[in-house]
Amino acid sequence: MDPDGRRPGSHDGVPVTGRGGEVGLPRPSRVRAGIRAHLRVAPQVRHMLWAYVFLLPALVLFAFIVAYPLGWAFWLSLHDWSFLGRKPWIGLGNYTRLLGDPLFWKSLGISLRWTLGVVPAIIVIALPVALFLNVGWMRMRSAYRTVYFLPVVTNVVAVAFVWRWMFDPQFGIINLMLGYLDLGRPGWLADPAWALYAMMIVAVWKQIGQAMVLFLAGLQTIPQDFVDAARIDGANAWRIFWRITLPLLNPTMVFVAVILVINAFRVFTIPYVMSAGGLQMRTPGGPADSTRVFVLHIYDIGFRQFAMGYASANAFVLMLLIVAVTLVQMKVIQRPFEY
Amino acid sequence: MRETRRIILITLAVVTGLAMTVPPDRVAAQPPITITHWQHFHEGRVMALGGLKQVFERQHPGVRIVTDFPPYAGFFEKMVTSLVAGTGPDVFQAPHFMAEQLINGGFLAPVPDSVATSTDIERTFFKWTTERFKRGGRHYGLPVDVQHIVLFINDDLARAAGLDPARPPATWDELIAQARRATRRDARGEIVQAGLDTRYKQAIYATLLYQFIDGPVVNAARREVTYNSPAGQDAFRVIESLLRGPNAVDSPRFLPGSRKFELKRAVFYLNHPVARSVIGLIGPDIKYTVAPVPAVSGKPPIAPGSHWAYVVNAKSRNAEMAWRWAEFLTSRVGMRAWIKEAGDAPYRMDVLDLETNTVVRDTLMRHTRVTDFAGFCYPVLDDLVDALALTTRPLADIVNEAKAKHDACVREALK
Amino acid sequence: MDIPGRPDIKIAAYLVLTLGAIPMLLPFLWMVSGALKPLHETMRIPPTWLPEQIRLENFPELFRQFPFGVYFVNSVIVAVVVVGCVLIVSAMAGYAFSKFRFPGRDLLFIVMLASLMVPFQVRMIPLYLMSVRFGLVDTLPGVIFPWLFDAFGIFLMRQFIQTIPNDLIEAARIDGAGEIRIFWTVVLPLVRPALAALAIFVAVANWEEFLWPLIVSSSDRSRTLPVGLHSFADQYMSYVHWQMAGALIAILPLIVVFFMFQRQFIQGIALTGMKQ
Repeated sequence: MDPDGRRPGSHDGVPVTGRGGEVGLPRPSRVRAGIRAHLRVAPQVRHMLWAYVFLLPALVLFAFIVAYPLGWAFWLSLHDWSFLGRKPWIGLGNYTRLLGDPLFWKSLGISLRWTLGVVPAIIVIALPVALFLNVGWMRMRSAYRTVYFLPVVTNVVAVAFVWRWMFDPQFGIINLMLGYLDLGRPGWLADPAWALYAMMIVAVWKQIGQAMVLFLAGLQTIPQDFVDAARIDGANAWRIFWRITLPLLNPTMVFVAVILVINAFRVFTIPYVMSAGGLQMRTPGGPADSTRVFVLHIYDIGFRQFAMGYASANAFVLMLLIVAVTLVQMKVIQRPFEY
Repeated sequence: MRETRRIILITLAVVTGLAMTVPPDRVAAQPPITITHWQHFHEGRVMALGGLKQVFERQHPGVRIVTDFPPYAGFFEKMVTSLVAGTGPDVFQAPHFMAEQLINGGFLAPVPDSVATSTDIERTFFKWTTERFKRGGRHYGLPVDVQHIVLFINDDLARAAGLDPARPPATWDELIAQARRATRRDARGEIVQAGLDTRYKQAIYATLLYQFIDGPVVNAARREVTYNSPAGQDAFRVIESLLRGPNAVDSPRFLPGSRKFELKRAVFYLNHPVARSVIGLIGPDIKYTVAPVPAVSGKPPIAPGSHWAYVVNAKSRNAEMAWRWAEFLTSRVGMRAWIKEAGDAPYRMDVLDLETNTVVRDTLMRHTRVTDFAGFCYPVLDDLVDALALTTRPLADIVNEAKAKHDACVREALK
Repeated sequence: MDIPGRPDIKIAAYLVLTLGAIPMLLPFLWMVSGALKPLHETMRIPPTWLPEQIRLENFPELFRQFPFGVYFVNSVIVAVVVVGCVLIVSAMAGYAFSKFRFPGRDLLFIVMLASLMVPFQVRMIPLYLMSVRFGLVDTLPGVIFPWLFDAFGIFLMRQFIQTIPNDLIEAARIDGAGEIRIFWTVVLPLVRPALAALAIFVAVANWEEFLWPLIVSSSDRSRTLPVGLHSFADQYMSYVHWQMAGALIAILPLIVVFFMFQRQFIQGIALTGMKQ
């Protein structure tokens, strides 16, 4: 920039102070004017260049931590890549192996059961809570809202310990209460028939607040005029809910459902922390693989059996599933990610 | 309100800032040599190692030992991932069943002659603890954590059940009969005192498998496991009878994952002699007897043995000092600390006199047979036992499915 | 939308909300109760609801076993760096996408947005291998770097910056303000609520993150709170009273922050429900 190779902004060793101090400092100002004159030739180019400047950090980071790892993951999935051995190219071998792997199907089934249980349960609980918290006459709204929201801001590892202890078949408070009601005493985390349900309860508990807040935001967007008009026409509350509120809430509903489905497919921490018993030196996902959700399956293959290629192939299947869910959502509501 | 918030925020910021300032011991000039040491967490061993570390650092001025004790559950993940990353510790412990993988992968540095020659090593330690870490005449590990299974009996609980701890069960049939007498249930039929604490499943299935099969359980030459044989299935049938049905002596519903024996909720317990230290820490007032493992009627009481080794990372920049530290830990001086504070059994032949328990010594010298597990595959057996205890599937199906999984794992490990 | 305030509906509403609140709060109460009990009381059959004997020594004992301070500071550092970076990067990119025209704009935006659909587990293994290659394993930068890009943040900032009238920006340009100055003094102040919401959301998500630090940390120097807590609980499996005390200590800071910024929190989640 500066013909003498000095830093622009300094003139003959005299530091320039203040902004826009071109007056009386001929050389730098001439340079700047030159640049401006040059850029004035093509203001669109200048505009464009600035756009790329603002975009640059995002682009670099995107390339480095999203695009590149994604490509690498696909490359890995075409190899028999393990930490301690050789890494031969096997093409789609990992993908065909996966189709014949009973554990793949089993863990996929477990994730599906998780999703089909957790997502509707959250919606069925969070929606009425949001409806009640949205009405004008309700007192202590913010207190209730805080209570239902509190689990969202807890640390899932910490609360998983608490729940693990609550679910203890003999020393836990849940079976104590079921005992009062004479409802039997499931083995919860110790029983393959119950372990997944115990963990699903924790997942529902943790996410109700999030869904509730989203529903509340959606409810605010419903114009009161519609409701008033319907009421004048003699519709009762129940009818208003089914005919007006619910249809108008549909975009929010789909959005919440999609978020919850994606979260359900990606769940890891709850089954990992609640099923792994330290001194038992056990594989997470137990007992008897009954809580081996799909991400746990990927983790087990990649970081416990160190078969990175095979784990990557499994991860791509997860990605395809999530992409499919998101595309279905885009079909259901035309405007993606609008709420 | 705004003010309060600001004050709280500022306080938080100040506290965080203070906490972030480097702790004083890190400010001190780094000694010229730092040796990082990892081993999985174990209360007694952590204490013993703390003392040994001080002695070693006093003997070697300028050397600092930095220890880390990851939990056992994540130890293998951490070890292998960090080795591949090239950031692993200088010294760590490796189980005998992973020796081949670690040596084949080029992850280990051999013991230099300046620290101990092959002859020294083979003269000092039990033969079966040095074989798997030996390759091409060189040793890649110094044995540590040499273990075999013994039977612990809670004296008071046994007497309360009408049993005599001085006359321990000699056979599995006797153990099962006595454990059944000692199992207590509440009105609902739930177990509130386990006859046998089965949480360390490996102790039970390894003992039964090596006694019933009386030969290799993992056939290294053919890279397959043999426990689907009739003898192996008999062994699993014994386990099934311990864990299932109205006569079960323990239940997964009862204190899952917890230390029943140390909490005085179990009468019998199969584990390694090193379990003595944890019993002492959690239940210091428990009076217990150590007995030999029960045997199959008419056969010798084989106790499955296992061991770990201190190994040095091939990437260590201070390999020789690292080996000195490892050698110190397995020396006679180190051995005293392991026995006294960690409750270990001796793992050198020249310190057998330090072990006061005759059953432990006797089993170690006469009946221990090292297991031939290969690779990080034993979780397959844990899952198998879970399936036996928790599902109604036929035993043969469960065993055959586990064998297929286990074979694949062993092939991967030995390839 | 309003529900009529008939007495029967009111009673039903209060009943439902109050009964529902019990299971929501139960874990917190059980945690506090367990954290104050001595070990033997946690093993009582049947269990006791309230500690018969309050034992505050659980906490000093916990701190002796568990370097909570180190994990806490690590978690704070990670959250602060990630939040700072995501805010700056997202605001800049959001500005570019909403107020500039340039070739490839829509394509780039869609590609970045599509990355929201890629689950982290797909990138996890290569990210780990990258950490190995760059020597980031078991360091705080290693824990941090995968989270520095957040497509959702870009999307959010684009939506908000779009609502700023173009005239405002043009006026600043005519006044001779440089582009960086416009961004800093005109655009950013106008989207402050969105920035606050994004900050809170990113911070909460980071405070929770477990899988990645579990893989990339291997010692206390880089362990964050969730991972530290997990390894602590693994080591002290039987000590339920310590586990409850540890859980309490671990969730307390975020709950305190939550009570201070409740409105922003809830707004943040409503705006950014895309992630857990």
